[in-house]
Amino acid sequence: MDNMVLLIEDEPKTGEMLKKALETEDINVEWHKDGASALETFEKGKFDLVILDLKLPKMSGDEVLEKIRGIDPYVEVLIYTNYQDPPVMKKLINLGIEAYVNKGPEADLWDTVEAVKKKLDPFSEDEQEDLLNSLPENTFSKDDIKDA
Amino acid sequence: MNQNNDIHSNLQSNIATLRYDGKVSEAIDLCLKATEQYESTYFYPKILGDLYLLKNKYEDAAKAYLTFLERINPSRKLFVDFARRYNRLKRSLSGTQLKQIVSNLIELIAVGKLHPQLSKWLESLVANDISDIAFSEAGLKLIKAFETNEKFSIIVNKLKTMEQNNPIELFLILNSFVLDRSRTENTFSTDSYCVAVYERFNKYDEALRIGIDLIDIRQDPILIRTIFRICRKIQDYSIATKILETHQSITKARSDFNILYELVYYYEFFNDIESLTESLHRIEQNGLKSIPIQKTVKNFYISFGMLEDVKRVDDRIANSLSGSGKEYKKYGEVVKESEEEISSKIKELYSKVEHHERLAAISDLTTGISHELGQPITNIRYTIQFYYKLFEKNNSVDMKILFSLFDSILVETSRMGDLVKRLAPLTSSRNIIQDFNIADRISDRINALDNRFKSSDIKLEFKPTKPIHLIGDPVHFDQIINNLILNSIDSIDSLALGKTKEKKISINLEEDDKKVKLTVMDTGAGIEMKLRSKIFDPFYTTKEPGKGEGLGLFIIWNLLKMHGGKIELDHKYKNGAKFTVVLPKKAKINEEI
Repeated sequence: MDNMVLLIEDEPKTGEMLKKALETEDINVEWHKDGASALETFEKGKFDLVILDLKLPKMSGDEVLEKIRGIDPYVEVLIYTNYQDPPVMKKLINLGIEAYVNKGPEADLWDTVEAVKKKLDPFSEDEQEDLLNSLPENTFSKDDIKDA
Repeated sequence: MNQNNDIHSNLQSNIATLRYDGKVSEAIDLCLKATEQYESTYFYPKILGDLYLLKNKYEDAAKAYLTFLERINPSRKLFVDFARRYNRLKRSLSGTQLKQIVSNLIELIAVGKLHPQLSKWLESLVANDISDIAFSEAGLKLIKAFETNEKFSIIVNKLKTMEQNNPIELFLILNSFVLDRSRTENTFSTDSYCVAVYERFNKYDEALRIGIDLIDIRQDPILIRTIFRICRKIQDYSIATKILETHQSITKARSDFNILYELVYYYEFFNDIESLTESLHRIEQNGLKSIPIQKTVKNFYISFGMLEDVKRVDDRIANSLSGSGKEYKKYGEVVKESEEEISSKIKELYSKVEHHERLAAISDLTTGISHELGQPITNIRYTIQFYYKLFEKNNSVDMKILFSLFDSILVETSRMGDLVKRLAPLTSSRNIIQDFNIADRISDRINALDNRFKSSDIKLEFKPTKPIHLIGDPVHFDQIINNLILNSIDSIDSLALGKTKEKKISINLEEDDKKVKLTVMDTGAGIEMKLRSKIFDPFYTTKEPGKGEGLGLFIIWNLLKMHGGKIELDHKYKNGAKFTVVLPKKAKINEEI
């Protein structure tokens, strides 16, 4: 099964290395350097995962995410950035993101690749929690029943 | 219960082990059994589907996912799990396979086996994949109502019911019976209502398609507002522009709040400041007696930085709130007192805002610096981490790659160094205060930049008539003038080549007893209205990455603050950007910024 990842990153070197590294793991990557051009190619169901930088030229990462969620509410989104702005984070969480990876002094290319792989693998550790959730009545109480 | 937990976690780890050992078929067998045995557990069918997917058995996977869907609670998280798998599966399916699955899903909704919330999510998930589905009875009645053009109120009721109960079918019907029908004054109300229905479901293309037909029949203000609002949402005003060209009477609408409100956004989009201001004034004048309208217009003025207008409207609001003078004569003093209180409160608020803004600027600056340094750090780390692993794997080092690696690290570190240098004027404590002629300093800067003017084909206009003296730090002054000119050059360069517009930067000096006024005016791209409040923020830039870090105006602003001067953008100038700098003739050096 082929995985398709959309990478939105304006730094040429960072983007190049991340794309190369993901490709060594047989993950297909489509790379765009700004939100507008990424959104041009974005379609519902076309990608399994979006890797989104927050600081982008013109349209910022949270604006891009808003548009993405308007088109595909289900695609996995991994935010990776080196600046943490609480109000923006709040907005991102409300819009729905699945993972957050730090860049900057803590940046680790292969950790990022692992985070992506973990999200793409349909049979991952997340499922363990699901298993517990799916047990008969009374065995669980923390299921998050929330309306969209 | 614990026993149950144990059984399941054993089973799960057995399946996982098989799967990771490559024994997918055996994992499938085990999972299939568990799916049948534990009928209330949704976990196994989900994993079963994933395993089938690994084997490219799409139809089996689809069946398993369907079982998964039947077993889950109406939890958003679980539905998202399903939706992702559905979308992933869809890419691998043939048309007939997809149709089969979609009709299975629709059936699941129809028989009412799913929780209503799940049904609702499912409907919107498969909405685009549905075709050739038989209509329900309610649907058939609605179609008949459209065909016989029944009374508006009856149709609206039918539409409302369907919108709530079965939006998927509703849009199938609207698409076939309303979207492309011929329109007359008789269908106007129904069709207008359908525009709103489409808009509610974010189907903007369809809404606009009907809207543009209707406008030719009647220029209804509410309809016009709807169309403009949709254009605003999609950030594409081409249809609105077309409408304005065909029906010029719309822009002449003097009194309709609906239209004027959207026109403000329209003119903002095209940066047409003159028309924007005119529309705002019309709203203000037409709604003199309405406090909500005055508040709306005030908010517009605030967002466009039109502070004089804000003050005028503010006064008007305060006046109408305090009632008419005659009747409350004896309370006059009370009113006056409270007004004084309000005005001192406002003053206090302003100083708070200023303080807050300063804190925000400092926080922006540190965030900006750490981000700006973070980029090259990330680049260096990623590059090294990538080649580290590559060399390790190949058990050899490619010298050519190694040297390019060294080069890229040097590039990134000099980028960090540049940033530090750029911020130096703000951190350097060596102020030299002396008397200098600013006309000379400006001429020197212009000469130093001569090559840039020539290569960009820019005409520079600066005609000092007499020396103007200032006591301050001449190096700081150079920084200010230099940053302003460089911004102007970049702005002119950013305009598409071949434009016939004149490329010119004009610098002007005026003085009185105490102050010097310097204006720098260019014929560049100018600054969009909505960006005007941000231009002095550190690291705010509209330039391409690598072309500018967004510090120029921030540095100017801070240097001026040190000198007791100020900088303003001329809001009325339209031919590019015009900045006015005012400096005291004797600088009051204030180290703290």
